[in-house]
Amino acid sequence: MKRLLASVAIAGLAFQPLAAQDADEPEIIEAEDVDDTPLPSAHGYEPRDDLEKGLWYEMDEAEKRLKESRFLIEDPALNDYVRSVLCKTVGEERCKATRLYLVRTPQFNASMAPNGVMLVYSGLLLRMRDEAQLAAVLGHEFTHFEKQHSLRIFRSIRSKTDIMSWLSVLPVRIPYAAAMVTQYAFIGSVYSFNREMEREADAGSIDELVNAGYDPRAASAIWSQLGAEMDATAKERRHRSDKNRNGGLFATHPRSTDRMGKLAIMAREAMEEGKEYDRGAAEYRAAIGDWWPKLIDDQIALKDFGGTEYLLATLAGDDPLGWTGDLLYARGELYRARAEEGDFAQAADFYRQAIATGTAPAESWRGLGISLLRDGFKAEGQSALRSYLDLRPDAPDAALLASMAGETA
Amino acid sequence: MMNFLMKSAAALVLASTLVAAPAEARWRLVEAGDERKVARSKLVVTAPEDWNRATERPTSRSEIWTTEGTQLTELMFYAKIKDGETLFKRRQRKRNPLPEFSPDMLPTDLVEWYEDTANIVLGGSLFEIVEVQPATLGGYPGVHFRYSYTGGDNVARLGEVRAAIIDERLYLISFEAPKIYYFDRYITGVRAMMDNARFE
Repeated sequence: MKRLLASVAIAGLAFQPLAAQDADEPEIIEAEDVDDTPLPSAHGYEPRDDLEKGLWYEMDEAEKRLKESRFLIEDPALNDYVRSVLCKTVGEERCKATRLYLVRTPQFNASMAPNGVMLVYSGLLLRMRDEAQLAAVLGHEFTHFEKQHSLRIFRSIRSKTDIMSWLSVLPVRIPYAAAMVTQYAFIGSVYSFNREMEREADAGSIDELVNAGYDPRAASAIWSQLGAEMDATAKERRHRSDKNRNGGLFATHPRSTDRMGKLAIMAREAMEEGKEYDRGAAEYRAAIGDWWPKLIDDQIALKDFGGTEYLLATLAGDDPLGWTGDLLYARGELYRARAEEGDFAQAADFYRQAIATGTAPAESWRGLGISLLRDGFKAEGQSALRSYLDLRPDAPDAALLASMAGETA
Repeated sequence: MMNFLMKSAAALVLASTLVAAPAEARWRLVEAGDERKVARSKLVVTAPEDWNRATERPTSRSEIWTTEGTQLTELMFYAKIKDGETLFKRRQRKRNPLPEFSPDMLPTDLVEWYEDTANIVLGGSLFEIVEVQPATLGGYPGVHFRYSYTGGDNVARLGEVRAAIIDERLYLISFEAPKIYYFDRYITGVRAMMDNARFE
């Protein structure tokens, strides 16, 4: 039990930005006027005092452990791609200060630590619809880093009181999902940025986007997608939407609806008339393509029916023709997993549509067979399972499916 | 500060940390060859070697055994799980609901249900079903499956489960241990226990 409590407390801490509440707004730390001291993104930047050195030391130690994490996505192509978007966004020179890590976890998050470690969660990659959106997130986090926001918060806390006693009063309200990411989540995400810092980072990301030639409206689009997804999750689970409770991605204040509006205005003001801005939707899809089926599986496993249903629809682009075999298969899986009245019939329908596209994963047959069996269509279900076994004779559950399909093992 | 965090965050095994793990519970020896009814049911198992059972139950429908501490070997017995119940205690009923058992589940559904539960509780995507076979539990048709996962402590573990739905109730035996050494050390005995389990 002690162990459990400890891990709950830690997870609450690590995810403090996600769980941050308006009522517990930490003390406002003024955005310092940065003098002529070098930016942390400058080549050869070193920590300036003992406190910063100590923080770097801890973060470097955490990074060593991070490197051994089994949750890292090591695929060089995907890493190179995300890095190239960051470098295009902030420029080759500043980008050198960043050590980028992709982490396999279905949550929507990204963070950057004071020592230049940037974490990008795979759940974020699943949700971005184009390169410009990814650039907006990376630019935002990079601004927090370059303006040394987390360092400033750390400094202020340290000067006031013992850090552990401060941490102990944080609200503990964590998703189960938080548990697995405790080993790295606190890097850079322990801190709840204040309103001023978020504004600074938002403004920073708009500047970076425009300079890089990306469409700056991508930033507000992320917030509207995220808000709608949170609404959809909440509606299905019958709780209040987290939309205005916390931003999910970059945490806390300002409220995400306000923020969306402000970002849209900033984008409009920053755009030059007649100039073409790049969204990079096709490039993004091509780069994420191989990973997509794995990432959507991770998402479906979270059993967030409302949020996932919304996510699939946005990925299909609200267009009947946008429903590819993969998306239809994923939708079938989602309905079959929910298993409520009528869901198996719905699921079977989606699997059939998926199969009809000719590009669906073989697992569509498996899902179809199981859905039909659950709905009482024994012969059709068994026949679908046999089709699956023809395609995937070495499936991990082939022996069991064969027995369910009426074949003697 | 960070070292403190890392140490505390390091413990995460599927069941024992998630159910109210009886860290303060007393342990009683189950000697090799002992026959015992488990999880307040008529399911009887025979200990293949010396094990320890916790006197406190993780949930009213389960029981936990270990040999070297639950981080290293964790044997769980679940019995009489009813329609609408979950494998573990529900902690966040609304925001992170655990999937509910249904007696209509097919053997494949049981596997997915277990996997989904693990994924939600672990928050992870590294949980993987390795192999699924038809099997029996106490003479009733069911399923046997193997899985692997890495938890919050970054330790690779293997697990095996035997499960069957009997009279609309779920009976399930699970064993998991680190891939290095511990799993192989105990799995043969555990499989024999699953094979020989019977109903009184």
